[in-house]
Amino acid sequence: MLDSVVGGDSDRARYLRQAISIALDYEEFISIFRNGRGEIAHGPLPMGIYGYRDPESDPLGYNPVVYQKESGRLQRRSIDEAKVLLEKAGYPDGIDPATGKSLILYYDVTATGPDSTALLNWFRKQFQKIGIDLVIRASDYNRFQDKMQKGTGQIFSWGWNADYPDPENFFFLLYGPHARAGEEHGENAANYSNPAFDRLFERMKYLPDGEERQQVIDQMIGIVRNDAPWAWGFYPVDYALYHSWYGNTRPNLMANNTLKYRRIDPVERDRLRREWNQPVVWPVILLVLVLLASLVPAVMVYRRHEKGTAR
Amino acid sequence: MIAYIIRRILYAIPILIGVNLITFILFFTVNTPDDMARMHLGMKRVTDEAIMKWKEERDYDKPLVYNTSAPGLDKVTDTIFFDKSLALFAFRFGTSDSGRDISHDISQRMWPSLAIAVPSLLVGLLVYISLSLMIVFFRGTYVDFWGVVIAVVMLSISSMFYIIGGQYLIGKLLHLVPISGFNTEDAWKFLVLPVIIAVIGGIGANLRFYRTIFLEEINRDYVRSARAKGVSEVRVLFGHVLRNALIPILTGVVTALPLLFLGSLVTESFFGIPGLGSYTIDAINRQDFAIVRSMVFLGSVLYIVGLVLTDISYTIADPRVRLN
Repeated sequence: MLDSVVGGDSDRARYLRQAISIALDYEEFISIFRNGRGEIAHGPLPMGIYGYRDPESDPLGYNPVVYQKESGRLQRRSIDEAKVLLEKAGYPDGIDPATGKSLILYYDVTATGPDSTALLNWFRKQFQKIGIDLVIRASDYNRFQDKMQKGTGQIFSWGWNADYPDPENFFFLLYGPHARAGEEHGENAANYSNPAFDRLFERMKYLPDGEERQQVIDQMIGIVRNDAPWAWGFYPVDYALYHSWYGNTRPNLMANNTLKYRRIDPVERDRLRREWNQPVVWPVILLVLVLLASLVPAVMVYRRHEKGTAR
Repeated sequence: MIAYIIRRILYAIPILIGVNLITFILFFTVNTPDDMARMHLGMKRVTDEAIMKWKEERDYDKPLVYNTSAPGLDKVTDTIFFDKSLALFAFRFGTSDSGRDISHDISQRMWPSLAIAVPSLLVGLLVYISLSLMIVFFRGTYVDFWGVVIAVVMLSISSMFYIIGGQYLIGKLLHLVPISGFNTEDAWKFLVLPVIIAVIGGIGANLRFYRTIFLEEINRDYVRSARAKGVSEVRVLFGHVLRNALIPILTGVVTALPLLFLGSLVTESFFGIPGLGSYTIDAINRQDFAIVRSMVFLGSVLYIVGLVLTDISYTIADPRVRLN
């Protein structure tokens, strides 16, 4: 948000960010790169965290900047709508009036090498849909971190694994005083700053879960959806295979002390173990017989040696 | 001999002090307590207060070797070096960085380690010596030639292959024993496979080693005399050749005896045996240097014990050896 093109609090920059948010088709991303294992994000809060609202059933659950409801179904806004926003931002058809050519934006990545080509091409393609040229700036992770500390990155992708299940642990990523390029070098990597959001955050973090906190959260989400400092991306979904005797657990990245909640059915486990592990003994018997048979000539040679006369 | 043993034990003290100093320098100056705290507390948003608290809870907040603010003798004793390194000489291992009593952990985990290591050693010795003597009996024949070829092939194969191959064949395909894990009630089920694999994995190197030793002895005059007296070849091999070849065998075996206690890092990790080998590997992975320090010290003590025991065993195996 410190960048002179995509950052800042001006309407121009806000429209540009909103247009980019619409163009980045994360449904397609999840389908291609995650094999369907992801849920579209409509804000900073994932499902299961207090304050989250279901985008399908709750009018406040979806991001109206990027989505609209058509016949009760959520629909990503069209590229034409993104282009209208882009025009309002001063870049008709993605043309930068200062140069008369396509607006050039820079995407800072640490992903390099042939494996990342498809991913980076996908990002280029998304920006191309609204006439923006995306230039990939690849660097190693240390250099990338350095850019983040200084706030010189323009566009980048990053994720967050929460430390604890509270909305505070997500909203603080957008809290102004926690700016990465600020004095604190905090976790607000986008260096987003909005005094109204910051005030609400300071109020929300000490509120108990309840009606008042939900209202404050709704306001906060409304502000950041409109400011669009992040294209909200997606929440990854993990799957794990467990035995049928093992239960009451799910893969997650947040809670670590889950051992006490797990359930094991020892009777079922024992039954299935016996069923699956019927020993196959004949190769062992065969091996013993072969070894014994191979000893016969050795014993014969030994007996001949013992009974032989000295020459 | 008593004087010799006492002298050897006294020699061990400077060696242990050296080991202790090197591990102290490695663990506390290269990797400072602040670094340890950061690693344990996670790299995200670690405050100075949290680091101080972590260090205080584990007595890492003291000066390293000299405490200028302490009175009298405490200047030396109220330090990390005295608390964490010199205490090891009294076998006071203290608590691990995660708060567990290391001595208790060691006393619990040494038994699974011994349960694998002792049968592996005994069965291994029996197999290696018997096979080597058999090959020596057939020396110069195609049995000898192919025996050596197979031994070279076997020792060229990584121990990992034996472990994974054994788990696949015996555990997964034949369902004879569990692939990995441990259970005190029917521990033998879990120990059979590691022991078999340890023995098979050692055949290549040991067969060649013992064959060379026995071949040196087999052409000696006393062997010819024994044969001339009409002693059977089995008795010649097991009674005379083996006994006279004991010195190099003991050098390898008795030195390793105390180290059996420490377990095998690789075997225990692959088979999920909760012994001291996997304890050390887990501690390294968790960066729990209190455990690693203790295990390094214990390893050096046991190695020295092994060397002294080897010297004593020489006098038993060969009456000509006298320790002065």
